[in-house]
Amino acid sequence: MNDYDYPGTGPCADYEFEIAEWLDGELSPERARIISLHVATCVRCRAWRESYAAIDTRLAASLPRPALSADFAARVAGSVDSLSRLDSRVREAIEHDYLQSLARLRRGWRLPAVLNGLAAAAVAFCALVLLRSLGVQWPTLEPVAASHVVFFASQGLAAIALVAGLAWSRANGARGWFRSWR
Amino acid sequence: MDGSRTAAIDQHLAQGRHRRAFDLIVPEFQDRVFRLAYSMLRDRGAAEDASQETFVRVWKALPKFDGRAALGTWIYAIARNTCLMEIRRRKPVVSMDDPDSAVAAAVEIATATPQAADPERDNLLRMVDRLPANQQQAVRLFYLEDRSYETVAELMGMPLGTVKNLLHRARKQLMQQARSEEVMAA
Repeated sequence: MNDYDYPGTGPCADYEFEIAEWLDGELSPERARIISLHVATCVRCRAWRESYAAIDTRLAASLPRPALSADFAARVAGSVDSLSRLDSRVREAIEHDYLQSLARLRRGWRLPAVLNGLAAAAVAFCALVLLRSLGVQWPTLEPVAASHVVFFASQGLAAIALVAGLAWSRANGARGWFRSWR
Repeated sequence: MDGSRTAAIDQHLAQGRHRRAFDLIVPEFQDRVFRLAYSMLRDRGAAEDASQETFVRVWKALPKFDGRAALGTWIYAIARNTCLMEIRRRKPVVSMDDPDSAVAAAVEIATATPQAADPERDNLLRMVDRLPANQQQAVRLFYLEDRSYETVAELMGMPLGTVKNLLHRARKQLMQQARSEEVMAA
């Protein structure tokens, strides 16, 4: 159903929307003057304006206008405070866990390093003993006891360092090694 | 809107003082957020809960607010999303085809507004309930916001022309329904 089911009650199509705006005070003074002049002379538009104004007044009087509780802002502040407390507790817990993990890591890298070093030294020592027992002669070796000691010590240390370094790099990577050391 | 308060909010936000900004945001926007929620949920308690939820979300998201949109626009968008989630979560209160829903709506009207029984008023509110959802919301907000097209457009996140059109169609339809009921009664 529309306005035009009731002959004589519909407004002029050109003015319908502007009559509504006029009633809401949304028209410029110039347009408002034009609309008011038209409504004053047009029976259909005048009747329509009165009906429209009546429904507008009824709506304004009838629609519920609920109000917010007086303690609303306090409740919101309470919610946000508890959220912030929870956030800070969670943040503290995460930070604590992180620091503990870091400390564990710092403590933990030394023991494997020592064990790796000892293992590498043992392997190097066994290798040298085995080579010696197989009769390998070092070409520049002089039969002087002190020279023997210095020579074996330097060769052994070099081998230990090499094997230990390789073992550690394999386990942790060169970057990890530097980071742990720092 | 309080201009000095808005300026203070902007200043606090620019300097990263989120809690101070938030303490000003709540009183500045709480009434409009509540009326927006009420226009969508049509239940005072649910609207208040949704408003509270909206501000909690605003608080959580405030550090990420970059100021590209106006603060009000951003807050009303959060409020609309919160209400839409609430509407999806629960069964629709009113359906055009469901007579039980119409009864529920009538009960809600009676409980939401402690006014004396008025058959004409109840009849008008029932007619409003039968309007399409966006027209209903526009009408409710328009009268809650003291007939301000601009505020309704801002709250609904719609262009001004669309809001004017919605309001005009809604009131025209109500006028026609009222007239047809008068004719039938006569």
